[in-house]
Amino acid sequence: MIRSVFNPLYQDNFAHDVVRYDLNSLKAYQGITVTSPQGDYEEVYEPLTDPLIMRYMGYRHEAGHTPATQANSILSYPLLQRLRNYLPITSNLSKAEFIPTRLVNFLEVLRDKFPRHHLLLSDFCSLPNSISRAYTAPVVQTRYKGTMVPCSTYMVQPGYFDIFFPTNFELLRDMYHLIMRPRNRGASMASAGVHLDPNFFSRTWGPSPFNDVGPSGNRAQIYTHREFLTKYADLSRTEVRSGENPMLDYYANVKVIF
Amino acid sequence: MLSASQLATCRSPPRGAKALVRDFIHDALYNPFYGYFPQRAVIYSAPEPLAFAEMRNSSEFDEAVARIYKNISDAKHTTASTVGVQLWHTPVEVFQVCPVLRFCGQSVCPDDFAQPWYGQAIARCLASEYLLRYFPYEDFVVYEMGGGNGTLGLNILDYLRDEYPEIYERTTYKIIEISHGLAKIQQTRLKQHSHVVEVINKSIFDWNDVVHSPCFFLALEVIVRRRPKRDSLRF
Repeated sequence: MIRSVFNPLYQDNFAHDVVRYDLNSLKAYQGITVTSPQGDYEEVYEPLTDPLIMRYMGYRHEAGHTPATQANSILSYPLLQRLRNYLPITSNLSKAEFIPTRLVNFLEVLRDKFPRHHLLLSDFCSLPNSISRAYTAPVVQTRYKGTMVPCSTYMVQPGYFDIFFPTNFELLRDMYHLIMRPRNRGASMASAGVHLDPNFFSRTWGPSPFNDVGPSGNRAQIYTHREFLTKYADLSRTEVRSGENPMLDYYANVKVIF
Repeated sequence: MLSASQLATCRSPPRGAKALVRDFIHDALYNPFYGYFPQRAVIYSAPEPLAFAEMRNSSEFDEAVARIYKNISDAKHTTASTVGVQLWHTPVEVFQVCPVLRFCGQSVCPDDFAQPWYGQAIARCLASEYLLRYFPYEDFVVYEMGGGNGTLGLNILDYLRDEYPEIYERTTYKIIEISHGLAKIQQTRLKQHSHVVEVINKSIFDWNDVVHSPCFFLALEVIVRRRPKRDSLRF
């Protein structure tokens, strides 16, 4: 019997924004998708104004993570950067970088609406066949005559293609701790009309479950799929005769944070 | 510039329009009228128990999974649809498998079919954390975001009922499900646990109430999309 379900909607395929940086000033520009009256797509960049992208930039900076475009490019070599400016035809913007803005949005919802949650999240940490020429680029693919066809851009007819992104778990963990830290939690409860001793959330206030970074009182930890299952699964049940264990081997590009 | 909520009301992809990239992508995936997920994706459960202990090695396992894929894509309901139909296979589904009877040598064991190794691992993880931190002072509350067809919830609840009745008795399992259709399927699938299950048909981004009790929040990108080994074709 084959049970199949149409119309699934998974909320955890978090959409990303795109930013590029001015190579001289390092100022960020936000990506906009423009659909022409004829239905053609174009990506244009304008100065950063979106509040969610700005919050993401703030969290990332505070977490001590460098934008991928700067960590990996000539932007980290000032001399090369200057030389590049003398080249005749070069773009004045860096390579594009996809940034997980909806994920930040999700973490903020967790902070505000589920203040005592304990998060268990799993996702892809890397993906083969992602679209080219961008950092943290998504896979864009569709199924055509039984074969999976990867594409080189996300600007395709909406609805015909799956678009999904790899997650940088180290960045996720660090942003998670920042967003969930007691100061933010206090602020969000105060805005909800709850008033507490100002020291309630600090480390000095009595025996509190909030003495550490996560809302659940412990640091969120990253596991590979294999590490997680080795810790929690009954592996004897999924072993084949050669001793291999497909449950462990299969999802090598999946990680878990808990 | 169109926002995500403005886009969500469009009945066909808008032309002569601008949107932030995240709103464009979100709309392409989730628009109720033409989005990829409402229109084209198919998710399914493994049609047969996989007999791990009978398989020689992992390539035999690969073949078994490939066979399932082929059967599914040959099935009438997917060929009837047009281009773009995507098949998903989740670890929850694959590893909801028969442990194979090592002792009696049968390859099919209906009683064990619901033995869900992946879901059990998650249940064990949550249970140990709960026992360590909260039991017996707080109830065991789980929120699952995007419950698929309810397999993970079923696996977790079956396991708790059988192995940790003291936890099961204090369990509330809530699924936050944006899709109306899936919410119905989850309710049916979890019928035997209906006294502990609640399916909430809304998006996490529209959540209003503050949940003050301790809870476990599951966000599992358990959707594993198998890609063909050779794909060189690009648009």
